[in-house]
Amino acid sequence: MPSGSKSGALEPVDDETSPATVRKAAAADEAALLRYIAAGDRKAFDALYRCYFPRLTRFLERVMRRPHAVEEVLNDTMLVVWRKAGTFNARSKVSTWIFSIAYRKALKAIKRFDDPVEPDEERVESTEPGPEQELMHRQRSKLLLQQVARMSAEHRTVIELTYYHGCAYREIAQIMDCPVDTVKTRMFHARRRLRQFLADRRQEL
Amino acid sequence: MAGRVLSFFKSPHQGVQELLPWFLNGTLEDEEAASVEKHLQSCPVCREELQCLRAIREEYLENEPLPQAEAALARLRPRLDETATVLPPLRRAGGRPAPSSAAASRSRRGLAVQLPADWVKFAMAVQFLLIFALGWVLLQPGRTDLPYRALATAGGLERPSGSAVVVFDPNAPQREVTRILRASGAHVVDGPTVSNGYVLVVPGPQLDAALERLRAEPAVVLAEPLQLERPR
Repeated sequence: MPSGSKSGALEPVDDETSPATVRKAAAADEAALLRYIAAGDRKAFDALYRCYFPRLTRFLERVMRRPHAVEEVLNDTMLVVWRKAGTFNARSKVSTWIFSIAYRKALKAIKRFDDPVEPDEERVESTEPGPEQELMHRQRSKLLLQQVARMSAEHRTVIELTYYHGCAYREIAQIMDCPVDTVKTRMFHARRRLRQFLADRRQEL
Repeated sequence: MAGRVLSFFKSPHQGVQELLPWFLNGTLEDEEAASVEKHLQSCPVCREELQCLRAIREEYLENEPLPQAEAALARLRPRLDETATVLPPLRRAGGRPAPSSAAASRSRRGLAVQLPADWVKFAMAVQFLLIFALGWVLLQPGRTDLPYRALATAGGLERPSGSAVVVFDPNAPQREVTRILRASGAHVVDGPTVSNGYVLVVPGPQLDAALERLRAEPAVVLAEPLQLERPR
């Protein structure tokens, strides 16, 4: 059964509004949720699933580039969370743990697929028509995403975890099970490519 | 491998350049952030790089509406029941019959054939008792708000006046969220969290007005001030 207090997870800090403090509070709450799940609590699992579904869907879409396989890998990930909640090591964050499971599952799934994936060129046209400026913005955004999609899974993962999921580089190293310098280097190369892409586009305009 | 070389012959400037993406997302340790800030003051190249990263991030974050969890969760549920059959008997109590999973019913049949009838009766009795007990635990009031406890009850952490938390409907498009945040007049200091929450800072006297505006938006699930009291 769930037991133990949250106080151990919350260290006193000087600045209570700092993002780090808020993140610690959220992490302590998720750890509590995981203890309920370890005790077989379905409602707690549903709550965690709903919390993570949007993030994991997006993460897996970006890492795998195969939308049809996302739900399967996501559910496999959450099944591991359900089965292994009791083994969660409270020294890392719940999100780091879940994302590392998802990342491993995604890499395995990518290996299973032999088909080469081309970046999705059609989706821009399929979006609902909006004001012209907004449409142009979305179009540009899609082009950038296509650039990211052409990178390796490792580079895509670092970008996605940094920009969209707001992960620290140390967390990313844990998720990807690699040294922190590798994370920094991957990010450095990825952003150099994106920067070049933006510069080329500016010249075209 | 070529990238590895960077880390061995890194100048302070290169070190800061590498950290910029995480300076931008606010996840650096205090000391690291301070050294980046200090370097930025004297390095126009890094300032320009930071602007560029900001532009990339803004485009990268432009996204489609978030997907619905319910259908996928419904498809996973039978597999949770399936798991229960391989766990010790006490765990099985939480499980319900899987209506649509052929694999689950196969494994359940297999189990029933192998076990003696008395054991099954005993397990059934224990199972019903535990279903009742767990049901009672689950149906207790106050446990239904689990997804949003992360920020609303942040374990007694204190905030200065003018702090608030806002949680958006997970299906609200990013541009709608951005519009609402801009219109509220508040500054985002953290988020989005896993529950689509943002922590805001509003100039003191305007907090109530900002909360009113936020609550009037259909895409806002929750908008509450954060507590002031120091926990005992």
